Amino acid sequence: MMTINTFKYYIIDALKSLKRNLTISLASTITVTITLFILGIFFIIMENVNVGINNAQSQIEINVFLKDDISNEEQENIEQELKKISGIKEIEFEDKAKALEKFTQQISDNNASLLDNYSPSNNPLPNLYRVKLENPEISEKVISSIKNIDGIESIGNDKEFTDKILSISKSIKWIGISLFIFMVAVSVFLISNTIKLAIYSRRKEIEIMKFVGATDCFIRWPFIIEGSIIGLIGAISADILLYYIYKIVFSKINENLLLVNLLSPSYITQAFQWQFILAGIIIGGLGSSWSLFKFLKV
Amino acid sequence: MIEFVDVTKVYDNHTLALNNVSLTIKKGEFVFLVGSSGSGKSTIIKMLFKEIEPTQGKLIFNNTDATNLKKSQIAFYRRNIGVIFQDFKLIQTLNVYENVAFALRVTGAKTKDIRKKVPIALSLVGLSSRFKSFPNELSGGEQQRVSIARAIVNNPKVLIADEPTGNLDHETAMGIMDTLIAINKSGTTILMATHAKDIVDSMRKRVIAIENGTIIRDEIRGTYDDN
Repeated sequence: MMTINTFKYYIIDALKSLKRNLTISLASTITVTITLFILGIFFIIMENVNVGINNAQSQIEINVFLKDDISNEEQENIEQELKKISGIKEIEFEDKAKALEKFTQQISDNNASLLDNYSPSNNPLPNLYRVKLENPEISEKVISSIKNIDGIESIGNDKEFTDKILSISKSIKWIGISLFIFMVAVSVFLISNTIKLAIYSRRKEIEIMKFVGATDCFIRWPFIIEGSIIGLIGAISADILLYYIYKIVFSKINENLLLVNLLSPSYITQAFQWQFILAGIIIGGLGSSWSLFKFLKV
Repeated sequence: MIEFVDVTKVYDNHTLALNNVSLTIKKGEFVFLVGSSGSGKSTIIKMLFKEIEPTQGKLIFNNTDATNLKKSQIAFYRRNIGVIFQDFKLIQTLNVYENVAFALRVTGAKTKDIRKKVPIALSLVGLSSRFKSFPNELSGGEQQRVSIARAIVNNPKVLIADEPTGNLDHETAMGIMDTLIAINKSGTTILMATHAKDIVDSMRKRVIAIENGTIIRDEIRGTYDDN
């Protein structure tokens, strides 16, 4: 059983040997920083794409046109029925006057003559409910439920737009997952190789430790702690670098492209901090532990 | 102290390194192990140090069967044996004091004990004044003395020396031998593998000669060659 004293010794030993092997420790730390930095950039791009997709998805809506001759009670009833359907995020009523007004605004610039014969008293547009969905994938299910409600004239939705958004978001999701696995694998490979190199340069030390009767545990712990410290420092550096560089990029993009809706830089400090640091420590520690197996066979 | 009972070693490439070897080394003995390269000297030393296991036979150390020890027991077994090599195997980034202290630290010794024992070991090998030097600042002979200090700082029962004078000139080598003799006189059993005919002949200690994996000669006050 490891006592606190032994553990304290391991930490002191790890710090000492980090200092002793400064060049290689620095090289390892920089590798961790760069790898996690690139991984971080990838995350931010993916998160921004996701935000864009979610925005597009939230635009998708179903228009439920009501029959012209229904009473207020029937309309109330329709609203109640709509509210019962699961998967609906928001229901907005738009009466025919508002619809005409909107329509007038939309086309008045080009074809104002088209509307000459129409007025609030002679309005061909129906009352409608604009229904927003929690998730565009369930639009067909929702539509079929709406169809069963009495008093509905027709249902309108932009199927083409919905399908396109769905297929884009699916592709992006898969590309994202594949790239993520690839990036993590590359990171682990790069970092563990650097650590392997660092340990290789000290294989003689490990051999001597074995010869003078050190247990595997005694040899392994300082290396694991050392790897974790390298991972920790590398992750913190990557985090800081990521924050400041993204902040600059964010302000430049916001200055020039007002329409793009990007995640704010504070996302990095909120979402990345502990995950990144934990990832750094785990990759560093595990990398050391794995790399050591080979050298402990003396 | 050390007993090989009908030990045979066949390596993975089917080389027969030791063929039914039996030998006994008593506590406090000084034994030279001689023979040409590839004779089986290194196999005996590696076996004693648990780097390799016998294919057949038994190794008894300090009246205990030390054949096929568990991996976790090997570290503790090795603490009974000091070892010195031809190439010294010092850690270049540690100074003399730290190199010697290293052997104690890995056994979990207390700092208080380390501070007491390291200077004693260094004075025994005549290096008290150089405790702050780094290995690359020392001569070959001095480096070997550091490695001896490291090997004995733990008070091992046995000291194995694998060609300890191989890289040293005659005068320096004789100085190292004086140190080893002194250590032996204090009760430590020493097994030294060597090619140095002059040293073996001048010491007249027990000589075990090995050829082709078989002991061909075992003399109480022997010489390097068969007389």
